[in-house]
Amino acid sequence: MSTVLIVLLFLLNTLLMPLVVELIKERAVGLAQRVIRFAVRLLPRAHRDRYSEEWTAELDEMERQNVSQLVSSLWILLSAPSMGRVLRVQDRRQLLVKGGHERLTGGVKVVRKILITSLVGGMTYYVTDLSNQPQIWAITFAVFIGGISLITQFISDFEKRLENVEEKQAAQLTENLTEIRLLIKEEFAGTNDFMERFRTAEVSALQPLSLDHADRPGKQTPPDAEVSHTPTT
Amino acid sequence: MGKPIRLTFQTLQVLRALLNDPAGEHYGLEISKEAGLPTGSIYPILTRMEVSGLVTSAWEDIDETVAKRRRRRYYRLTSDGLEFARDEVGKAARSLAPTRHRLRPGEASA
Repeated sequence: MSTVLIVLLFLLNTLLMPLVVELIKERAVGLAQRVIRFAVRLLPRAHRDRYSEEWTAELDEMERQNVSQLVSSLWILLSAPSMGRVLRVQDRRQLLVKGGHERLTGGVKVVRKILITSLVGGMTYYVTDLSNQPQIWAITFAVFIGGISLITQFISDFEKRLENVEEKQAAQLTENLTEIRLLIKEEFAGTNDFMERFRTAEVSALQPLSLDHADRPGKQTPPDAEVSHTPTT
Repeated sequence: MGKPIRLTFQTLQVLRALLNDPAGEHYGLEISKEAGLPTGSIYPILTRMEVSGLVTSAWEDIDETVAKRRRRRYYRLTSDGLEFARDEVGKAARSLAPTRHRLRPGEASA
């Protein structure tokens, strides 16, 4: 009984294994691409495009090595979580440095505003005091002129920020439009042969032919000829 | 210069592969072949090196339709990376080199 079972298993193995191997070889490329797509999702969003392109290029260069492509993609999948961690830590560090720099810049701006306001107010007080005005008027003038200089600085800052935002928005819009144009172009380039021929026929200067004529290029049917539908027996 | 990354055998292999042609540009598949490591396993190492400033990477500047292949991402050692790689690969080579054991007069007959 056991001998029969062993023989059966041997036969099954001999018959099935080549089929399984062929099946894996056939599907390996598609599977590898799916694995890469999944691996890329494990990375931070900002890095996905870069690694997707890099890894796809690598798989492409391993042409005619279907199983190697699959194995390679599995290695990448195994490595992706640790890469994701490294990249996330790096991104957080950069964000902290950037935030610190922005806070520092903000602090410098505030100090500058205080200094300018104090200077303008102080000078106003000095000039008013020189003209022998009462003390109360000197202080009032100093506060008033200092206040105007402070508001002017705030308005100037606001204008600069507004300009920056507008410039960024315009750049983003241009970038998006370019991207959309490229996508549309790629999509049209990717259409099938029929669409390409159809487009060529559409733009050609020749009169379009009816389908009947196009099917039978050698046969010329007069335009007023009646088509016989009598079944042949 | 301290150790900016954790040094494993695989990391040393990648450093050695890059050090073979320090001025040259290397892409993933080539580095993995040179380092004798499975393709795909070198990316975490290269990422750590890049984050630590030991290597830089840039896209290849080609016309993909003319070259009939996708552009590659090229990696290159930075000046810090070059110094680090030379130090560490040198140290590893020295520690793995066979120690010269001088026989003392009495040991030969023992």
